[in-house]
Amino acid sequence: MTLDLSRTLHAAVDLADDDSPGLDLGPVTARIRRRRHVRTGVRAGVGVAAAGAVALTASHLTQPATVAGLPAARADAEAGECGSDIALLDRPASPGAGLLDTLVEDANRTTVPRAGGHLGTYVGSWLTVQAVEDAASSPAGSEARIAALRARLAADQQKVTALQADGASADALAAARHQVDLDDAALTSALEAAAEAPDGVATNLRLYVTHRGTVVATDPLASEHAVPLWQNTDAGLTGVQIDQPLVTCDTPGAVGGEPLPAGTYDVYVGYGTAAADATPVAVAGPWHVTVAHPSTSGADLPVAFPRAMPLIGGRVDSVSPLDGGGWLVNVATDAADAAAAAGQLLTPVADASTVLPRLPHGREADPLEHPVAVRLADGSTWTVTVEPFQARDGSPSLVYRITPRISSDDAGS
Amino acid sequence: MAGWEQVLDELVRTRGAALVRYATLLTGDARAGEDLVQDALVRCFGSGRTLRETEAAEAYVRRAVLTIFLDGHRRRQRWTARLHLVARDEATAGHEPGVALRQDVRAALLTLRPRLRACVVLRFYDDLTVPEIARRLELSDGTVKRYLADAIALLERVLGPIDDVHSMDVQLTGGRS
Repeated sequence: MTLDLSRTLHAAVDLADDDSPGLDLGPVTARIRRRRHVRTGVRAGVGVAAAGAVALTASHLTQPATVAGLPAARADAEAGECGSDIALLDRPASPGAGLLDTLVEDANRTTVPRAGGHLGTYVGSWLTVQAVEDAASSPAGSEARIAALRARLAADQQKVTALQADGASADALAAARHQVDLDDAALTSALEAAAEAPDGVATNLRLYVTHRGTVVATDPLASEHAVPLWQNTDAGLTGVQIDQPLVTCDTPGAVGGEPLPAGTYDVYVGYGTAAADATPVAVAGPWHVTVAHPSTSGADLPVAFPRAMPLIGGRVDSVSPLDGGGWLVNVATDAADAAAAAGQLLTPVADASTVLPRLPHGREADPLEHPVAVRLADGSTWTVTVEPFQARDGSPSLVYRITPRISSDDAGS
Repeated sequence: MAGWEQVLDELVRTRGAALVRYATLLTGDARAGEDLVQDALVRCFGSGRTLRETEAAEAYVRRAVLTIFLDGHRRRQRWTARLHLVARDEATAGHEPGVALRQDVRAALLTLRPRLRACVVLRFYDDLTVPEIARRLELSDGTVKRYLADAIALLERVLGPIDDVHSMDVQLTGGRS
């Protein structure tokens, strides 16, 4: 008798066993609410920015910096908590800890991150940084090593495929396959070692955004989606890419989630070795970041332009009709996160039924990689692509190509 | 109740256990599978994306389960939960495979390396083609074929001959052992 594997697997999943585990919805819902709470705050800010874009006001900045919009300092706050004094995290991280963009050589010709730099102006809802630390002491080391081994395996597999396509000799093919086997063994070994590591040995970095020394934005969940990096530098640095929502954190009796008011803030990186949400044991920084909420100003938009279309804030340099319908819009912006912010603005109006298959792994709408199908509140549907552009005077801008979709049936085309 | 909560509630009520069993095929342990599904639900429903239909949401969550599993975000695999490998009962034509046979297959899957296991689940549960699996796992088509061939050979050592796998829509290299 032979086994029908497909049928048996379907039965194993779709037919209930007596010992089928249940799923406790309570903790899941709480985690989702917390995460959506952060994002809803972000989106509310985005909505304001989008409305400003339609109004085409003369002002460039909507709100001046206001301490009133920030969590208050709390003398009783534990180190690293919202409202706490950042100075409570008084143990400096190792010299190799910091942000990748700020690497310099020290007196010993060792590559180290240097604190104090300006990370740029951010108009979107997330601050994305690449935080590094010494590989030898890094809890992220195994993750980074696994990522590097995966990349090496993929590259060597592609070599085998290329050799096969080119009709390479048997010896060359065998050597390439042997290398793949070695890569595979190394990756398997690393995965098994990581699987057997004790709980809590995982990427564990946390960003702290402070204003006048008080923690006003920090996300204990940020490390969950940190992306491991492997920096094969002489200094042996490793690290992760980590996203910090630019919204206020929660304090007792005051729910956060509001966009940080425009202004300049300090950014610190906390390093820990215990559980993901534990207080970090060391901190590096500060760096500086400017948060801005520009509205759109400049050229008049044509009457027929879809005014609910969420464009990034900035100076509209030109709006041109396209042959066959639609618009080409150039918005000048020097924001460090211009492309990401454009995607974040489009995500709430993205047509999920069309976007979902195109954007696997839960990514946000990314108009730089894919055209985004957009459905506006008035029922009109559009295809939007965004490209970075360098203007004649050297200033950066984003170019939106906005074309009408004929019908919903065309949404996936 | 918000729209997303209704979809979540419906999804967990109607397909929650199946999602955990799907994840358990990958993790080998029901508790780890439950953790994996919880993480996937948080990722999918916490992203702010609009999920209106339970069926689409399930596919989305299943994809997130696989992604999180392969990304290694869940490290707490409990290898102590190995099952007995051979306790097969009769699987009569026209009837669904019995509980013991399903347990045998689940246990046999645990003998495979994670990526081989993922290939088998994607091919024989999700019914994806080799190119689709390759795209999902970011591998070449040839590597997926080799992984599937290796996996089938290993499974057949434990489970005996497997039906139709050598006449699939792809030419498996390596063959059975």
